[in-house]
Amino acid sequence: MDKITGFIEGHIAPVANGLAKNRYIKAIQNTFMTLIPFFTIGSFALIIIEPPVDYTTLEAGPLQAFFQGWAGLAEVLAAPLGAINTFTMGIMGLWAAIGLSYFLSRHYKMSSFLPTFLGAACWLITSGVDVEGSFVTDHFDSTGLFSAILVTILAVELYRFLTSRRVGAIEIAGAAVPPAITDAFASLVPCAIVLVCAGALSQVVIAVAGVTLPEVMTVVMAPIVSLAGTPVGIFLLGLIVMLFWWFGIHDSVITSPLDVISYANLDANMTAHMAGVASTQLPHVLTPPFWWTFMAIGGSGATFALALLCLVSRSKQLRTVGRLGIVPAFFNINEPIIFGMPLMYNPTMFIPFLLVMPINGLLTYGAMALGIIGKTYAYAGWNMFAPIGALLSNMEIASLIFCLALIVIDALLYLPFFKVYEKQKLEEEAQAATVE
Amino acid sequence: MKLLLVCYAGMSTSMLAQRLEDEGAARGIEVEVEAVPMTELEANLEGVDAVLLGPQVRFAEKDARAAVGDDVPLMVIAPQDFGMMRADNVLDQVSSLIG
Repeated sequence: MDKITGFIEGHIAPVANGLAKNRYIKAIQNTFMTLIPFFTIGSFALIIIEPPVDYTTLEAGPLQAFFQGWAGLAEVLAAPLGAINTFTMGIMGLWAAIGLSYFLSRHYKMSSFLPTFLGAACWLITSGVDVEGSFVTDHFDSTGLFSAILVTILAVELYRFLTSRRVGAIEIAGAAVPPAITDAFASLVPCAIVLVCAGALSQVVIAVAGVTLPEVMTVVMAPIVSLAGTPVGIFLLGLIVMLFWWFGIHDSVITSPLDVISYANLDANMTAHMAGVASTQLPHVLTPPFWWTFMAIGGSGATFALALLCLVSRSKQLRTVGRLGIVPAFFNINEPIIFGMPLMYNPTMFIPFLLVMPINGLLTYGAMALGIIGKTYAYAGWNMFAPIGALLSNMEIASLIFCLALIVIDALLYLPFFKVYEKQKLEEEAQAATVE
Repeated sequence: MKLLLVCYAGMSTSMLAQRLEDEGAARGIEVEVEAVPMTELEANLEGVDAVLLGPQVRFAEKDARAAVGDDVPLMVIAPQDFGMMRADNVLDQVSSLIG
């Protein structure tokens, strides 16, 4: 065991770390982390203007009065809150294009805001037009995400290449060209070249494929998107993430690229929901609320149940961990449990730590497939206490109950392994006591 | 002294930050701790006496070292000290590190 962990610590983990700090993955990660308030606010705006129950179907009483009041409020607020939803969640393609350009240019320590504008402009050139070249906003939503990643990376990289070669910078030996003029030309020419290239890319794609770039990207990425959303895909993704955490490494290398897919899925579900599709018939299972509120209850590894077990343990150390870990667990932060119990490198807890979260994924997938709970269309943010997040994800009481049931199941799955580990800890503590 | 605590999102280290300040106060040392995400490391180095990495970003030690430079001491917090929030252990180590 020591040999294996030594090998992984020495060889595999640095590779994972290298990937995690890859500039493109970092830019994606920073963009989505920055946008979380937008997603949360956009989700809440939607929840408020869409009462989950039609009051006319209820019998007269306080419940009917409540939902009638809600319906009245929703009617008044539909326009302003609808606008908030549209211009936060609803145009995430545009926000992503701006954010990706910004974070990538910041990575290259470009102090000017121009590369950010430029990346966004290039995305608009390729994704904000139809085949006739007219300006359309069809792909300002999540269907523009994949083209945003591709185009902003190309644009910022090309701009960086051209400016680092000082293409277009006027330098007349001996002549007194004011530096500001030199700088102006130094960015003008590369900027023009990048924009022309974006226009050319857009036209070539339309000429060859007959559709615009975002539509091509959607087709290209479709197999990966649907594979990630299968039970096998969800199980494997969960397993890999937990393997990272068992080595005490953050999972961003997997979850950041996954964000692109799951947020696009969430947006598609939200759009379908607003068009009147029933929650059980929504197109996608794998969304941020699916992962962060049904799978990772209490943090990666579904450690909320484990925090509860620690809290009532007879071992002094585990009880301390439980006390430290329980409050953060409500907000899905579990570093005290992972590093304090510890779960990291803990051979006794290896099996449940790796398997409980993917099992939550399979159970939730099953419940959604059978229509016991609906699929998700709103996201309360990853810091929301999971059962409440589950309720808000599709406004069904069943989701809240199902999430609570998952916590009980998780506790039962963790329990046998926890008992073995607790026994080890109690023996250690008894020994320490006799030595003293 | 001013310490910079670095982890992935700056969330979990903020819990330890508070405890470190309290531990400093108990010892009569003025300790100012700031918890930042890894991506914000370089922007927050001014006036920092030591940089502490959370164990979950320990593989970024080399890059962090490069960003911090040789003048400022840097250490990775031991996983157990981090998990159990043992501010006393961490502060002992920092003190010996700064010397």
